[in-house]
Amino acid sequence: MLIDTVELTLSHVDLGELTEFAAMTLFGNAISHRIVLGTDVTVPEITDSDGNTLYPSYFMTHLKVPHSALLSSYKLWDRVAVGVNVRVFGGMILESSYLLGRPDEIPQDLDLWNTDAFPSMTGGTLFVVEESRGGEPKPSVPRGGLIAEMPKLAKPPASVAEFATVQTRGSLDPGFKGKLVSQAPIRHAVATGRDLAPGHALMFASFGKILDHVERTLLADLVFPPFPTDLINHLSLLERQTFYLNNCYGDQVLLANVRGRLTPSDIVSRSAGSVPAATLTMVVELYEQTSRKLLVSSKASKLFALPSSRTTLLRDMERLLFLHGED
Amino acid sequence: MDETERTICEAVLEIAQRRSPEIKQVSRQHSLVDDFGLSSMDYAELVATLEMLLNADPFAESVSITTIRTVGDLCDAYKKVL
Repeated sequence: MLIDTVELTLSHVDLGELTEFAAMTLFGNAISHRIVLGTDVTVPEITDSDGNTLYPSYFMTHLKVPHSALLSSYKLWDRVAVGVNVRVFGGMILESSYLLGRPDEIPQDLDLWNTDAFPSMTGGTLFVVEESRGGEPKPSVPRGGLIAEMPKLAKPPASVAEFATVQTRGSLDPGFKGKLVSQAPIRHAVATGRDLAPGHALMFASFGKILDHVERTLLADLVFPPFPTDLINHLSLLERQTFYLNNCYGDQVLLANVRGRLTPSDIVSRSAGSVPAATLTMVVELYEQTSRKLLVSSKASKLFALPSSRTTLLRDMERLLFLHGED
Repeated sequence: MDETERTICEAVLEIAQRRSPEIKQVSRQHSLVDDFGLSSMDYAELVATLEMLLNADPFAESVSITTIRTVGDLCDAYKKVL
């Protein structure tokens, strides 16, 4: 187990607050630190017996955020602690769990981690050879001694079987239905420099940004009557599970199959200034336009947490629940 | 077929049957990808399972996993380190 303490700087949160993307990158950094903990190597020095550079590639992430500790409660220049625990199944598969809180809130004892009180994530990761564009990801085993000793799993993590199920069913929730739908797939052009670094595939956390963009397009532009953008800006992530089946590159176009459900929130808020007005559940699959490959399947739950002083927004929410909400 | 080969064939069969239940037999000549459709994740799970069953991981030391095409290649890789 490892606890990273990090100051949320401009490079993490811009001028704002912790986002899903920033939290995911903190978790990605933490597992990278953990797998070389106590060794003399750095992550880019992990190679297989052929000398190929390996990197830990997420095939599943499942982020959960309690409404009492929304990501937005962690702000610029706050110090946060990120706990990470990693277990291995064989030489290639890693199962990781994470907890994020204030520096004194993450216990050293894993049994005391309270995932109901703090943002948390579980992840499934595979060591793969750095791939050339469009190539199949090739799993490989780090050479002996290049990664830290980590506790071993006696059987495959559940995410391995779930991954195979998503691969064959095409969605992590194929039966999901909702009133919020797009008649045609939503397009997203992957831009080098904005979405990904030149010459590289998309980083796992960046898929969350694309999924948010797709969701925003659906709510603001494709359903009618539309959701006011001011209302969309008050969406807070409660949970997102994502399976990463294939990756994409700059200048490719993604096609998103999206459906969503809007329901009244059953959350009782203890915050005087905020009203948990409604919950949005979205299921999205992303395909690459040219190859038609399924890249990602994701299911997210978000809360419309509205300032109680914004009565107009609250009326907007009531109206949209009447028009688009589930019966 | 010796004990190591039998263990490997049984492990391959178990994973292959998840995708294709009609597969009833595994031999050295079978291709892991072309005959059984094993994915990257299947490969990783297979190697992890064999590490537990045989208490060895040839791919961490001497053998390149990218050279493994057939069940026979897999058997030979483990025999090198057992």
